[in-house]
Amino acid sequence: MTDAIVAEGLGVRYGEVRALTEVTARIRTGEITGLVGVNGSGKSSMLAAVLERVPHEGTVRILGRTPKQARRAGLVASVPQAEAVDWDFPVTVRDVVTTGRYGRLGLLRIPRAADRAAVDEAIDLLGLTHLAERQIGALSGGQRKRAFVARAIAQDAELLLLDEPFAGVDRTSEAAITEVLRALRDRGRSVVIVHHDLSGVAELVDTVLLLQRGRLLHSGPPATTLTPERIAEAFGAGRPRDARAEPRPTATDEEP
Amino acid sequence: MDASVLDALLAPFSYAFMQRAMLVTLVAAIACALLSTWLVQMGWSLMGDAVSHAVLPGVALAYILGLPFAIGAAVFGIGAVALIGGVRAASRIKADAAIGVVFTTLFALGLVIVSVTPSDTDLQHILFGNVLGVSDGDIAQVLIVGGIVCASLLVLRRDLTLVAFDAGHAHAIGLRPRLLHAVLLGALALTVVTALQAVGIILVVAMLVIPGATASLIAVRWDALLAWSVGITVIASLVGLMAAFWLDISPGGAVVLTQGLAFGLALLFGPRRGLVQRWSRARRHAVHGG
Repeated sequence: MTDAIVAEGLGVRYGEVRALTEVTARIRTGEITGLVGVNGSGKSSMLAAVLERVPHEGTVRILGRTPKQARRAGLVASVPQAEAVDWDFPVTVRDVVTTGRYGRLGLLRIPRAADRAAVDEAIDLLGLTHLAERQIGALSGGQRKRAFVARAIAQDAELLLLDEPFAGVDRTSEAAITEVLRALRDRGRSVVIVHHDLSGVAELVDTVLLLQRGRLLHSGPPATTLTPERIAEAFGAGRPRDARAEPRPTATDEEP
Repeated sequence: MDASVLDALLAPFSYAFMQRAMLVTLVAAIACALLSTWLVQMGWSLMGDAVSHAVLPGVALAYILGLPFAIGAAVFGIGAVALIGGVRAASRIKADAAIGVVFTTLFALGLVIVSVTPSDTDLQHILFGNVLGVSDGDIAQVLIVGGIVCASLLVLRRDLTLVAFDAGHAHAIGLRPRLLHAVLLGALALTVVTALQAVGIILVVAMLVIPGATASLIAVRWDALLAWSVGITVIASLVGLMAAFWLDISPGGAVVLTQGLAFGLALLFGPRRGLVQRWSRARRHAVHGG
Protein backbone atom coordinates (compact mmCIF):
# COMPACT_ATOMS: atom_id res chain seq x y z
CA MET A 1 0.00 0.00 0.00
CA THR A 2 1.21 3.53 -0.77
CA ASP A 3 2.50 5.34 2.28
CA ALA A 4 0.58 8.39 3.49
CA ILE A 5 3.75 10.47 3.71
CA VAL A 6 7.28 9.67 2.64
CA ALA A 7 9.82 12.28 3.70
CA GLU A 8 13.46 12.06 2.74
CA GLY A 9 16.13 14.36 4.13
CA LEU A 10 13.51 16.92 5.14
CA GLY A 11 15.00 20.15 6.49
CA VAL A 12 13.59 23.55 7.37
CA ARG A 13 15.54 26.69 8.17
CA TYR A 14 14.18 30.04 9.40
CA GLY A 15 17.02 32.46 8.71
CA GLU A 16 19.92 31.27 10.84
CA VAL A 17 17.78 28.88 12.87
CA ARG A 18 17.49 25.24 11.84
CA ALA A 19 14.01 24.03 12.76
CA LEU A 20 14.22 20.62 11.12
CA THR A 21 17.28 18.63 10.07
CA GLU A 22 17.53 15.61 7.76
CA VAL A 23 14.28 13.95 8.76
CA THR A 24 13.61 10.76 6.83
CA ALA A 25 10.38 9.02 7.74
CA ARG A 26 7.51 6.95 6.39
CA ILE A 27 4.02 7.54 7.72
CA ARG A 28 1.76 4.63 6.93
CA THR A 29 -1.74 4.79 5.47
CA GLY A 30 -4.66 3.85 7.69
CA GLU A 31 -2.85 4.73 10.90
CA ILE A 32 -2.86 7.47 13.48
CA THR A 33 0.68 8.80 13.76
CA GLY A 34 1.85 11.10 16.52
CA LEU A 35 4.61 13.66 16.03
CA VAL A 36 5.78 14.11 19.59
CA GLY A 37 8.39 16.36 21.15
CA VAL A 38 8.84 19.45 23.28
CA ASN A 39 8.01 22.91 21.93
CA GLY A 40 10.62 23.81 19.33
CA SER A 41 11.46 20.20 18.49
CA GLY A 42 10.39 20.69 14.86
CA LYS A 43 6.91 19.11 14.85
CA SER A 44 5.00 22.01 13.35
CA SER A 45 7.86 22.73 10.96
CA MET A 46 7.61 19.16 9.74
CA LEU A 47 3.88 19.58 9.04
CA ALA A 48 4.59 22.88 7.28
CA ALA A 49 7.31 21.26 5.18
CA VAL A 50 5.09 18.30 4.27
CA LEU A 51 2.49 20.74 2.95
CA GLU A 52 5.22 22.90 1.40
CA ARG A 53 4.05 25.93 3.33
CA VAL A 54 7.68 26.79 4.04
CA PRO A 55 10.78 26.44 1.87
CA HIS A 56 12.45 23.13 2.68
CA GLU A 57 15.25 20.77 1.78
CA GLY A 58 14.63 17.16 0.86
CA THR A 59 11.64 15.53 -0.79
CA VAL A 60 8.10 14.71 0.25
CA ARG A 61 5.52 12.42 -1.33
CA ILE A 62 1.94 12.39 -0.11
CA LEU A 63 0.03 9.24 -1.06
CA GLY A 64 2.46 8.74 -3.92
CA ARG A 65 2.07 12.27 -5.30
CA THR A 66 3.96 15.51 -4.94
CA PRO A 67 2.56 17.76 -2.19
CA LYS A 68 1.24 20.16 -4.81
CA GLN A 69 -0.63 17.39 -6.63
CA ALA A 70 -1.99 16.07 -3.35
CA ARG A 71 -3.21 19.53 -2.31
CA ARG A 72 -4.83 20.19 -5.66
CA ALA A 73 -6.57 16.79 -5.48
CA GLY A 74 -8.00 17.69 -2.05
CA LEU A 75 -6.24 14.76 -0.39
CA VAL A 76 -4.97 16.69 2.62
CA ALA A 77 -6.92 18.41 5.40
CA SER A 78 -5.20 20.53 8.01
CA VAL A 79 -6.36 21.58 11.47
CA PRO A 80 -4.37 24.60 12.70
CA GLN A 81 -3.08 25.37 16.16
CA ALA A 82 -5.43 27.58 18.17
CA GLU A 83 -2.80 30.33 18.19
CA ALA A 84 -2.81 30.47 14.39
CA VAL A 85 -6.47 31.48 14.18
CA ASP A 86 -8.02 34.95 14.48
CA TRP A 87 -11.01 34.04 16.65
CA ASP A 88 -12.56 37.46 16.21
CA PHE A 89 -12.99 36.86 12.48
CA PRO A 90 -16.59 37.31 11.28
CA VAL A 91 -17.38 33.70 10.34
CA THR A 92 -19.80 31.22 11.88
CA VAL A 93 -19.12 27.57 12.67
CA ARG A 94 -21.07 26.61 9.55
CA ASP A 95 -18.98 29.01 7.42
CA VAL A 96 -15.76 27.44 8.72
CA VAL A 97 -16.93 23.88 8.08
CA THR A 98 -18.19 24.83 4.62
CA THR A 99 -14.68 25.92 3.62
CA GLY A 100 -13.77 22.22 3.85
CA ARG A 101 -15.80 21.74 0.66
CA TYR A 102 -14.21 24.60 -1.30
CA GLY A 103 -11.89 22.32 -3.27
CA ARG A 104 -14.94 20.69 -4.84
CA LEU A 105 -16.85 23.87 -5.62
CA GLY A 106 -16.79 26.23 -8.61
CA LEU A 107 -15.11 29.63 -8.72
CA LEU A 108 -17.86 31.31 -6.70
CA ARG A 109 -17.67 28.52 -4.06
CA ILE A 110 -21.43 28.17 -3.83
CA PRO A 111 -22.25 24.88 -2.06
CA ARG A 112 -24.65 22.46 -3.70
CA ALA A 113 -27.19 20.34 -1.82
CA ALA A 114 -24.69 17.48 -1.42
CA ASP A 115 -22.10 19.87 0.02
CA ARG A 116 -24.58 21.35 2.47
CA ALA A 117 -25.56 17.84 3.55
CA ALA A 118 -21.88 16.91 4.09
CA VAL A 119 -21.39 20.07 6.16
CA ASP A 120 -24.48 19.36 8.28
CA GLU A 121 -23.33 15.79 8.82
CA ALA A 122 -19.83 16.84 9.88
CA ILE A 123 -21.20 19.48 12.27
CA ASP A 124 -23.55 16.90 13.74
CA LEU A 125 -20.79 14.30 14.07
CA LEU A 126 -18.79 16.68 16.26
CA GLY A 127 -21.88 17.62 18.28
CA LEU A 128 -21.97 21.26 17.18
CA THR A 129 -25.39 21.45 15.50
CA HIS A 130 -26.81 23.77 18.17
CA LEU A 131 -23.82 26.09 17.76
CA ALA A 132 -23.63 26.06 13.95
CA GLU A 133 -24.75 29.67 13.48
CA ARG A 134 -22.50 31.07 16.25
CA GLN A 135 -19.49 33.21 15.45
CA ILE A 136 -16.47 30.90 15.77
CA GLY A 137 -14.88 32.92 18.58
CA ALA A 138 -18.04 32.62 20.69
CA LEU A 139 -17.26 28.92 21.27
CA SER A 140 -15.13 27.36 24.00
CA GLY A 141 -11.61 26.16 23.17
CA GLY A 142 -12.71 22.56 22.75
CA GLN A 143 -15.72 23.45 20.63
CA ARG A 144 -13.55 25.61 18.37
CA LYS A 145 -11.20 22.70 17.81
CA ARG A 146 -14.16 20.42 17.11
CA ALA A 147 -15.35 22.90 14.47
CA PHE A 148 -12.01 22.60 12.67
CA VAL A 149 -12.09 18.81 12.88
CA ALA A 150 -15.61 19.00 11.42
CA ARG A 151 -14.15 21.02 8.55
CA ALA A 152 -11.62 18.25 7.89
CA ILE A 153 -14.45 15.68 7.98
CA ALA A 154 -16.52 17.74 5.54
CA GLN A 155 -13.50 17.85 3.24
CA ASP A 156 -13.43 14.04 3.24
CA ALA A 157 -9.64 14.07 2.79
CA GLU A 158 -7.45 10.97 2.74
CA LEU A 159 -4.86 12.48 5.07
CA LEU A 160 -5.55 14.67 8.10
CA LEU A 161 -2.81 16.79 9.67
CA LEU A 162 -3.73 18.14 13.10
CA ASP A 163 -1.48 20.60 14.93
CA GLU A 164 -1.98 20.26 18.69
CA PRO A 165 -5.63 19.11 18.49
CA PHE A 166 -5.85 18.56 22.24
CA ALA A 167 -4.18 21.72 23.52
CA GLY A 168 -6.58 23.74 25.70
CA VAL A 169 -9.36 21.28 25.00
CA ASP A 170 -11.92 20.05 27.55
CA ARG A 171 -12.55 16.35 28.19
CA THR A 172 -15.82 16.25 26.23
CA SER A 173 -14.18 17.70 23.14
CA GLU A 174 -11.09 15.53 23.52
CA ALA A 175 -13.30 12.42 23.65
CA ALA A 176 -15.33 13.58 20.65
CA ILE A 177 -12.21 14.33 18.58
CA THR A 178 -10.53 11.06 19.59
CA GLU A 179 -13.58 9.06 18.61
CA VAL A 180 -13.77 10.74 15.23
CA LEU A 181 -10.07 10.19 14.53
CA ARG A 182 -10.34 6.50 15.40
CA ALA A 183 -13.38 6.13 13.15
CA LEU A 184 -11.44 7.74 10.32
CA ARG A 185 -8.52 5.37 10.80
CA ASP A 186 -10.91 2.43 10.81
CA ARG A 187 -12.14 3.63 7.40
CA GLY A 188 -8.57 3.54 6.09
CA ARG A 189 -7.80 7.26 6.41
CA SER A 190 -4.44 8.46 7.66
CA VAL A 191 -4.15 10.86 10.57
CA VAL A 192 -1.09 12.74 11.78
CA ILE A 193 -1.28 14.63 15.07
CA VAL A 194 1.29 16.95 16.53
CA HIS A 195 1.47 16.67 20.30
CA HIS A 196 3.75 18.47 22.74
CA ASP A 197 3.40 16.02 25.62
CA LEU A 198 2.63 12.35 26.08
CA SER A 199 -0.80 12.48 27.64
CA GLY A 200 -3.12 10.10 25.85
CA VAL A 201 -0.66 9.50 23.02
CA ALA A 202 0.01 5.83 23.76
CA GLU A 203 -3.70 5.01 23.73
CA LEU A 204 -4.49 6.93 20.59
CA VAL A 205 -1.67 6.52 18.11
CA ASP A 206 -0.38 3.51 16.21
CA THR A 207 3.04 4.97 15.52
CA VAL A 208 5.06 7.65 17.25
CA LEU A 209 7.73 9.86 15.72
CA LEU A 210 9.77 11.28 18.58
CA LEU A 211 11.42 14.57 17.63
CA GLN A 212 14.12 16.49 19.44
CA ARG A 213 15.79 19.71 18.34
CA GLY A 214 14.61 19.27 14.79
CA ARG A 215 15.85 15.69 14.43
CA LEU A 216 13.94 12.43 14.36
CA LEU A 217 15.06 10.60 17.47
CA HIS A 218 13.02 7.40 17.28
CA SER A 219 9.96 6.06 15.55
CA GLY A 220 7.77 3.01 16.01
CA PRO A 221 4.81 1.72 18.00
CA PRO A 222 4.24 3.52 21.34
CA ALA A 223 5.13 0.41 23.34
CA THR A 224 8.68 0.29 22.00
CA THR A 225 9.19 4.00 21.31
CA LEU A 226 7.86 5.59 24.47
CA THR A 227 10.23 3.86 26.84
CA PRO A 228 11.40 5.79 29.92
CA GLU A 229 14.93 6.15 28.46
CA ARG A 230 13.76 7.48 25.13
CA ILE A 231 11.23 9.81 26.74
CA ALA A 232 13.98 11.16 28.99
CA GLU A 233 16.17 11.64 25.92
CA ALA A 234 13.46 13.51 23.98
CA PHE A 235 12.04 15.56 26.79
CA GLY A 236 15.13 16.06 28.92
CA ALA A 237 15.02 16.22 32.69
CA GLY A 238 11.59 17.86 32.79
CA ARG A 239 9.61 14.73 31.94
CA PRO A 240 6.21 15.38 30.44
CA ARG A 241 3.04 14.28 32.07
CA ASP A 242 1.91 10.82 31.11
CA ALA A 243 -1.81 10.14 31.12
CA ARG A 244 -1.19 6.55 32.07
CA ALA A 245 0.45 7.64 35.28
CA GLU A 246 -1.56 10.67 36.26
CA PRO A 247 -4.70 12.37 35.05
CA ARG A 248 -4.15 15.42 32.88
CA PRO A 249 -5.69 18.67 34.08
CA THR A 250 -8.12 19.82 31.42
CA ALA A 251 -9.78 23.04 30.38
CA THR A 252 -13.37 23.50 31.39
CA ASP A 253 -15.99 23.22 28.72
CA GLU A 254 -17.97 26.39 29.12
CA GLU A 255 -21.12 26.26 27.09
CA PRO A 256 -21.39 29.72 25.60
CA MET B 1 -40.54 62.82 5.98
CA ASP B 2 -42.30 65.84 4.54
CA ALA B 3 -42.09 65.82 0.73
CA SER B 4 -40.88 69.40 0.57
CA VAL B 5 -38.06 68.70 3.04
CA LEU B 6 -37.01 65.67 1.00
CA ASP B 7 -37.09 67.75 -2.19
CA ALA B 8 -34.93 70.38 -0.56
CA LEU B 9 -32.44 67.77 0.66
CA LEU B 10 -32.21 66.14 -2.73
CA ALA B 11 -32.10 69.47 -4.59
CA PRO B 12 -28.30 69.39 -4.89
CA PHE B 13 -28.53 66.27 -7.02
CA SER B 14 -30.63 68.09 -9.65
CA TYR B 15 -27.41 69.80 -10.76
CA ALA B 16 -25.37 67.93 -13.37
CA PHE B 17 -22.05 68.54 -11.57
CA MET B 18 -23.50 67.09 -8.37
CA GLN B 19 -24.82 64.04 -10.21
CA ARG B 20 -21.37 63.45 -11.63
CA ALA B 21 -19.82 63.96 -8.21
CA MET B 22 -22.26 61.48 -6.72
CA LEU B 23 -21.55 58.87 -9.39
CA VAL B 24 -17.77 59.12 -8.98
CA THR B 25 -17.92 59.23 -5.20
CA LEU B 26 -20.28 56.24 -4.97
CA VAL B 27 -18.26 54.01 -7.31
CA ALA B 28 -15.00 54.89 -5.58
CA ALA B 29 -16.54 54.56 -2.13
CA ILE B 30 -18.06 51.15 -2.88
CA ALA B 31 -14.77 49.80 -4.25
CA CYS B 32 -12.99 51.14 -1.15
CA ALA B 33 -15.66 49.74 1.17
CA LEU B 34 -15.45 46.23 -0.28
CA LEU B 35 -11.67 46.22 -0.15
CA SER B 36 -11.58 47.71 3.34
CA THR B 37 -13.27 44.63 4.83
CA TRP B 38 -10.27 42.49 3.90
CA LEU B 39 -7.67 45.14 4.68
CA VAL B 40 -9.05 45.63 8.18
CA GLN B 41 -9.52 41.92 8.96
CA MET B 42 -6.05 41.04 7.69
CA GLY B 43 -4.35 43.87 9.55
CA TRP B 44 -3.36 45.49 6.26
CA SER B 45 -4.74 48.98 6.95
CA LEU B 46 -1.25 50.44 6.91
CA MET B 47 -0.76 48.91 3.47
CA GLY B 48 -3.79 50.95 2.29
CA ASP B 49 -2.13 54.05 3.71
CA ALA B 50 1.12 53.15 1.99
CA VAL B 51 -0.26 52.47 -1.48
CA SER B 52 -2.49 55.53 -1.47
CA HIS B 53 0.50 57.79 -0.76
CA ALA B 54 2.97 55.91 -2.93
CA VAL B 55 0.98 56.57 -6.12
CA LEU B 56 1.67 60.33 -6.01
CA PRO B 57 4.89 60.25 -8.07
CA GLY B 58 3.19 57.96 -10.59
CA VAL B 59 0.28 60.32 -10.98
CA ALA B 60 2.60 63.34 -11.22
CA LEU B 61 4.70 61.65 -13.90
CA ALA B 62 1.58 60.60 -15.79
CA TYR B 63 0.45 64.25 -15.70
CA ILE B 64 3.79 65.42 -17.08
CA LEU B 65 3.79 62.76 -19.81
CA GLY B 66 0.14 63.32 -20.66
CA LEU B 67 -0.86 59.75 -19.78
CA PRO B 68 -3.98 58.68 -17.89
CA PHE B 69 -3.40 59.07 -14.13
CA ALA B 70 -4.54 55.45 -13.66
CA ILE B 71 -1.49 54.11 -15.46
CA GLY B 72 1.02 56.05 -13.36
CA ALA B 73 -0.84 55.27 -10.17
CA ALA B 74 -1.11 51.56 -10.92
CA VAL B 75 2.59 51.28 -11.79
CA PHE B 76 3.70 53.03 -8.61
CA GLY B 77 1.05 51.38 -6.42
CA ILE B 78 2.09 47.89 -7.45
CA GLY B 79 5.76 48.97 -7.48
CA ALA B 80 5.43 50.19 -3.90
CA VAL B 81 4.03 46.83 -2.78
CA ALA B 82 6.90 45.01 -4.49
CA LEU B 83 9.42 47.44 -3.00
CA ILE B 84 8.02 46.93 0.52
CA GLY B 85 8.37 43.18 0.06
CA GLY B 86 11.91 43.66 -1.26
CA VAL B 87 12.98 45.89 1.62
CA ARG B 88 11.66 43.35 4.11
CA ALA B 89 13.39 40.46 2.38
CA ALA B 90 16.70 42.30 2.03
CA SER B 91 16.86 43.63 5.59
CA ARG B 92 15.82 42.68 9.08
CA ILE B 93 13.48 45.61 9.65
CA LYS B 94 9.89 44.87 10.59
CA ALA B 95 6.92 45.16 8.24
CA ASP B 96 5.54 48.44 9.60
CA ALA B 97 8.93 50.12 9.33
CA ALA B 98 9.45 48.82 5.78
CA ILE B 99 6.03 50.15 4.80
CA GLY B 100 6.74 53.49 6.49
CA VAL B 101 10.10 53.94 4.77
CA VAL B 102 8.84 53.06 1.29
CA PHE B 103 5.62 55.02 1.21
CA THR B 104 6.91 58.22 2.79
CA THR B 105 9.91 58.21 0.44
CA LEU B 106 7.71 57.70 -2.61
CA PHE B 107 5.26 60.35 -1.36
CA ALA B 108 8.17 62.76 -0.89
CA LEU B 109 9.36 61.97 -4.42
CA GLY B 110 5.86 62.84 -5.62
CA LEU B 111 5.91 66.15 -3.74
CA VAL B 112 9.28 67.01 -5.29
CA ILE B 113 8.00 66.22 -8.80
CA VAL B 114 4.87 68.29 -8.14
CA SER B 115 6.98 71.22 -6.89
CA VAL B 116 8.99 71.40 -10.13
CA THR B 117 6.00 70.93 -12.45
CA PRO B 118 4.99 74.27 -14.02
CA SER B 119 1.19 74.10 -13.61
CA ASP B 120 0.32 72.29 -10.47
CA THR B 121 -3.40 73.00 -10.25
CA ASP B 122 -4.45 69.49 -11.26
CA LEU B 123 -1.86 67.95 -8.99
CA GLN B 124 -3.29 69.79 -6.00
CA HIS B 125 -6.54 68.06 -6.88
CA ILE B 126 -4.77 64.72 -6.65
CA LEU B 127 -3.88 65.46 -3.06
CA PHE B 128 -7.31 66.68 -2.01
CA GLY B 129 -9.67 65.40 -4.69
CA ASN B 130 -11.76 67.42 -7.12
CA VAL B 131 -15.00 65.59 -7.27
CA LEU B 132 -17.03 68.65 -8.30
CA GLY B 133 -14.93 69.15 -11.43
CA VAL B 134 -14.56 65.66 -12.86
CA SER B 135 -14.36 65.34 -16.64
CA ASP B 136 -16.07 62.74 -18.82
CA GLY B 137 -12.73 60.96 -19.14
CA ASP B 138 -12.35 60.85 -15.34
CA ILE B 139 -15.83 59.40 -14.98
CA ALA B 140 -15.18 56.71 -17.59
CA GLN B 141 -11.91 55.82 -15.87
CA VAL B 142 -13.53 55.57 -12.44
CA LEU B 143 -16.41 53.46 -13.77
CA ILE B 144 -14.17 51.03 -15.66
CA VAL B 145 -11.47 50.61 -13.00
CA GLY B 146 -13.95 50.66 -10.11
CA GLY B 147 -16.17 48.17 -11.90
CA ILE B 148 -13.26 45.78 -12.49
CA VAL B 149 -12.20 46.01 -8.83
CA CYS B 150 -15.72 45.46 -7.47
CA ALA B 151 -16.43 42.55 -9.82
CA SER B 152 -13.10 40.83 -9.03
CA LEU B 153 -13.55 41.20 -5.29
CA LEU B 154 -17.11 39.91 -5.37
CA VAL B 155 -16.28 36.91 -7.57
CA LEU B 156 -13.28 35.95 -5.43
CA ARG B 157 -14.77 36.98 -2.09
CA ARG B 158 -15.01 33.50 -0.61
CA ASP B 159 -11.43 32.61 -1.51
CA LEU B 160 -10.14 35.97 -0.29
CA THR B 161 -12.02 35.54 2.96
CA LEU B 162 -10.66 32.02 3.45
CA VAL B 163 -7.11 33.23 2.86
CA ALA B 164 -7.65 36.06 5.34
CA PHE B 165 -9.05 33.65 7.94
CA ASP B 166 -6.91 30.54 7.49
CA ALA B 167 -4.22 30.76 4.83
CA GLY B 168 -2.92 27.33 5.92
CA HIS B 169 -6.19 25.60 5.05
CA ALA B 170 -6.46 27.57 1.81
CA HIS B 171 -2.99 26.35 0.87
CA ALA B 172 -3.76 22.76 1.93
CA ILE B 173 -6.79 22.54 -0.35
CA GLY B 174 -4.86 23.78 -3.36
CA LEU B 175 -5.68 27.51 -3.38
CA ARG B 176 -2.80 29.91 -3.87
CA PRO B 177 -2.64 32.34 -0.93
CA ARG B 178 0.21 34.37 -2.44
CA LEU B 179 -1.68 34.86 -5.67
CA LEU B 180 -4.80 35.88 -3.75
CA HIS B 181 -2.74 38.32 -1.67
CA ALA B 182 -1.40 39.74 -4.94
CA VAL B 183 -4.96 40.11 -6.22
CA LEU B 184 -5.87 42.07 -3.10
CA LEU B 185 -2.83 44.32 -3.44
CA GLY B 186 -3.51 44.85 -7.15
CA ALA B 187 -7.10 45.71 -6.32
CA LEU B 188 -5.78 48.11 -3.69
CA ALA B 189 -3.62 49.95 -6.23
CA LEU B 190 -6.52 50.21 -8.68
CA THR B 191 -8.97 51.28 -5.97
CA VAL B 192 -6.68 54.10 -4.98
CA VAL B 193 -6.80 55.24 -8.60
CA THR B 194 -10.60 55.37 -8.55
CA ALA B 195 -10.73 57.17 -5.23
CA LEU B 196 -8.19 59.84 -6.18
CA GLN B 197 -10.80 61.88 -8.02
CA ALA B 198 -13.29 61.69 -5.21
CA VAL B 199 -11.33 62.42 -2.07
CA GLY B 200 -7.69 62.73 -3.10
CA ILE B 201 -4.68 60.78 -1.96
CA ILE B 202 -4.69 61.92 1.64
CA LEU B 203 -8.26 60.88 2.43
CA VAL B 204 -8.27 57.67 0.37
CA VAL B 205 -6.86 55.82 3.32
CA ALA B 206 -9.90 56.81 5.38
CA MET B 207 -12.22 55.31 2.79
CA LEU B 208 -10.06 52.18 2.74
CA VAL B 209 -10.19 51.66 6.49
CA ILE B 210 -13.25 53.25 8.12
CA PRO B 211 -16.06 51.29 6.39
CA GLY B 212 -14.49 47.88 7.09
CA ALA B 213 -13.61 48.85 10.65
CA THR B 214 -17.15 50.14 11.25
CA ALA B 215 -18.79 47.03 9.79
CA SER B 216 -16.58 44.78 11.93
CA LEU B 217 -18.22 46.31 15.01
CA ILE B 218 -21.60 45.18 13.72
CA ALA B 219 -21.48 42.02 11.57
CA VAL B 220 -20.67 38.44 12.60
CA ARG B 221 -20.72 36.97 9.07
CA TRP B 222 -18.64 37.94 6.09
CA ASP B 223 -21.47 38.66 3.66
CA ALA B 224 -23.11 40.84 6.31
CA LEU B 225 -19.77 42.56 6.82
CA LEU B 226 -19.58 43.40 3.11
CA ALA B 227 -23.20 44.60 3.10
CA TRP B 228 -22.72 46.81 6.17
CA SER B 229 -19.45 48.19 4.84
CA VAL B 230 -21.00 49.14 1.49
CA GLY B 231 -24.26 50.35 3.06
CA ILE B 232 -22.48 52.63 5.50
CA THR B 233 -20.24 54.05 2.82
CA VAL B 234 -23.13 54.73 0.41
CA ILE B 235 -25.09 56.60 3.08
CA ALA B 236 -21.98 58.48 4.20
CA SER B 237 -21.24 59.47 0.59
CA LEU B 238 -24.75 60.85 0.01
CA VAL B 239 -24.89 62.63 3.37
CA GLY B 240 -21.37 63.97 2.94
CA LEU B 241 -22.05 65.33 -0.56
CA MET B 242 -25.27 66.98 0.61
CA ALA B 243 -23.46 68.53 3.55
CA ALA B 244 -20.72 69.75 1.20
CA PHE B 245 -23.33 71.41 -1.04
CA TRP B 246 -25.33 73.10 1.69
CA LEU B 247 -22.45 74.09 3.95
CA ASP B 248 -20.01 74.86 1.11
CA ILE B 249 -17.30 72.61 2.57
CA SER B 250 -14.82 70.16 1.00
CA PRO B 251 -16.82 67.22 -0.43
CA GLY B 252 -14.08 64.66 0.18
CA GLY B 253 -13.65 65.93 3.72
CA ALA B 254 -17.40 65.85 4.34
CA VAL B 255 -17.74 62.26 3.07
CA VAL B 256 -14.89 61.01 5.25
CA LEU B 257 -16.13 62.95 8.29
CA THR B 258 -19.53 61.31 7.88
CA GLN B 259 -17.84 57.90 7.74
CA GLY B 260 -15.93 58.77 10.89
CA LEU B 261 -19.21 59.72 12.56
CA ALA B 262 -20.71 56.36 11.52
CA PHE B 263 -17.70 54.60 13.07
CA GLY B 264 -18.25 56.54 16.29
CA LEU B 265 -21.90 55.48 16.38
CA ALA B 266 -20.97 51.81 15.77
CA LEU B 267 -18.33 52.02 18.48
CA LEU B 268 -20.94 53.24 20.93
CA PHE B 269 -23.99 51.25 19.85
CA GLY B 270 -22.64 48.35 17.74
CA PRO B 271 -24.25 45.01 18.63
CA ARG B 272 -20.97 43.08 18.60
CA ARG B 273 -18.65 45.10 20.76
CA GLY B 274 -20.48 48.39 21.29
CA LEU B 275 -19.41 50.35 24.37
CA VAL B 276 -23.01 50.91 25.45
CA GLN B 277 -23.78 47.20 25.23
CA ARG B 278 -20.63 46.27 27.12
CA TRP B 279 -21.34 48.91 29.73
CA SER B 280 -24.93 47.75 30.27
CA ARG B 281 -23.80 44.11 30.42
CA ALA B 282 -21.17 44.95 33.02
CA ARG B 283 -23.80 46.85 34.97
CA ARG B 284 -26.21 43.91 34.86
CA HIS B 285 -23.46 41.60 36.09
CA ALA B 286 -22.64 44.02 38.89
CA VAL B 287 -26.30 44.20 39.94
CA HIS B 288 -26.74 40.41 39.82
CA GLY B 289 -23.45 39.91 41.55
CA GLY B 290 -24.82 41.87 44.48
